[in-house]
Amino acid sequence: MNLEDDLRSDLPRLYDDTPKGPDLETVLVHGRGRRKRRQLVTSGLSVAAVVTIAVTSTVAVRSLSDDGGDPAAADIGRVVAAPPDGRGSGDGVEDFVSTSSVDEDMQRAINAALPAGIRGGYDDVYPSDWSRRTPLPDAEAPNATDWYAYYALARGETLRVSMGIDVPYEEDTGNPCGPPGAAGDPRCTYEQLPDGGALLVTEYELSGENTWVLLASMTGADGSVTTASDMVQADGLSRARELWTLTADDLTVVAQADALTFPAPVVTPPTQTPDYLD
Amino acid sequence: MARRPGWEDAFCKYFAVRRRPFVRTAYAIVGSWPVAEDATQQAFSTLYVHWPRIRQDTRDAYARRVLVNACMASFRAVRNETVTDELPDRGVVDETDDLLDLRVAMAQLTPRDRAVLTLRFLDDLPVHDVATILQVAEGTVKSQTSRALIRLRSHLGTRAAQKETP
Repeated sequence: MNLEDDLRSDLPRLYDDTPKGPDLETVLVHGRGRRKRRQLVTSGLSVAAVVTIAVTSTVAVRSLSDDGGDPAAADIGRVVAAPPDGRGSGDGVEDFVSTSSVDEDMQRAINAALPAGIRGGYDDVYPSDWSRRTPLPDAEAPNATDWYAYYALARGETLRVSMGIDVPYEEDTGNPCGPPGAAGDPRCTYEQLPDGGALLVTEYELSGENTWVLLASMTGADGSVTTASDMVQADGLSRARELWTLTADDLTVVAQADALTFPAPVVTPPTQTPDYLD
Repeated sequence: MARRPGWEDAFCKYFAVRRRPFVRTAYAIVGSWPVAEDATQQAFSTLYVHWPRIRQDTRDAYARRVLVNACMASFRAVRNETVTDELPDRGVVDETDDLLDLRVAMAQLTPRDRAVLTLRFLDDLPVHDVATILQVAEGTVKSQTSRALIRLRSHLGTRAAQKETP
C-alpha cells in the first residue's frame, strides 16, 4: 500500500475516539444570539453608511437634484443639508421630514426621556421601511415601518434611537444572550417582562470599525422594537465603557419611552427578507 | 413567548448527523479536543446564522468550509501556546506504534497541510469537493496534497530513524 491508502485506513482509526462534540442547546443559544445581534448590527451599519454617504456627497447630491436627478437621492441631500445645530422651533425640535410630524414627536419623546444635562443636537431623523436600507422619500413617510433618530452627543458619540413595527422576516428567537461571561466580556442581559415584552441590554462592536455600541432594545408584546444605543469610537470595550456618556439605565428609559410611537403604515412594503440582511 | 424559526428543526437534524464527523475533522486539523470542540461549536453557530439562505445542495461544502475556517482561526488564536512537536491530545484507545508515529507526524505538519490531508483522506472527499471547501483550484488541491504527503512521509521517516538510533 502507498501512503495515501495508509492514510485512508489509518486516519479514521486515529481519530475514531471522537467525543460527541458541542452541545446542541449551546449551539442554538449562540446561533440565535449571533443572528439577532447580526440583525441589529446590520441595521446600525446600513444607517451609518447612509449618513456617511449623505454627508460626504451632499454637494454632489444637490447638484444632481438641481439637474433633475433621482428624487430619493435629492431627499437624502435635503435632510443632511439641514444644519445639525439649527434647532429652529421653540421647543427644541427640528422639522426633518416636511410631510410628517413623527420626526418632531420622536425628538420630543427622546428629549423628555434623556437625563438632564445631556448636551448635543439632532443630526437627522428619518423614516424607512423593512425593504430598504435608505431613508424613505418624504412623500412616502406615511408608509414607514421604522423611524431613526441620530443625536450627536457632545463628546463625539452618537445616540441612535429607532422604533419599528413587528418585522415579518425577523423571527423572535427569544433570549440572544449566551451564558454569563467573565467580568471583561461584553455585557448581554435579557429580561422577559410581565406584559409579554422583553428588554435586551448589550454591548457589542461594529465589525471592523472600532465602534462600540451600548444598546437597550425593548421588544413590545406586539413585536414592535424600540432601541436606543450610544455609539462611540474606542479601542476596546474597556475604553468604550469609559467613554459612553449614557448608561444602560439611561438608554433603557429612552427605549421604554411610551411616547415613541408612530402610526401604522398606510401601505406596507413587501415582506420578503431583503438581500442585504444576509 | 419566543417563537422558533420554522427552519430550526432542520438545523437540529443536520447538527445531530454532522456533529461527530465535524468534531473529528476539526480535531484532525487542530490537534486538541477542546479547541476542536470550540471550532465545531463556532462553525455550527455560524451555520445557524446563515441557515435559511444556504442551498441544500451546497450545504455540506459550505458547512465544511466554515468548519475549516473556524479551525484555522482557532489555531491562529492559540498558536503561540502550541508546541507543535509535542504529542497532541489523544484518546483513550491504545495505539500501535504506527498510529502513534502517524499522530506525531500529523502534528508536525502545518494546519493547512493537515486540512488538505484530513479532507482528502479522513473525510475521503474527492478533489473537486476539497477545492470547493478550500476555495482553491482543483490543481491547487492536488499540488498541496502532494506536498503535504511529501512532508508527512519525511516526518514519518525521521521518526523511524530516531527510533532506530540507539
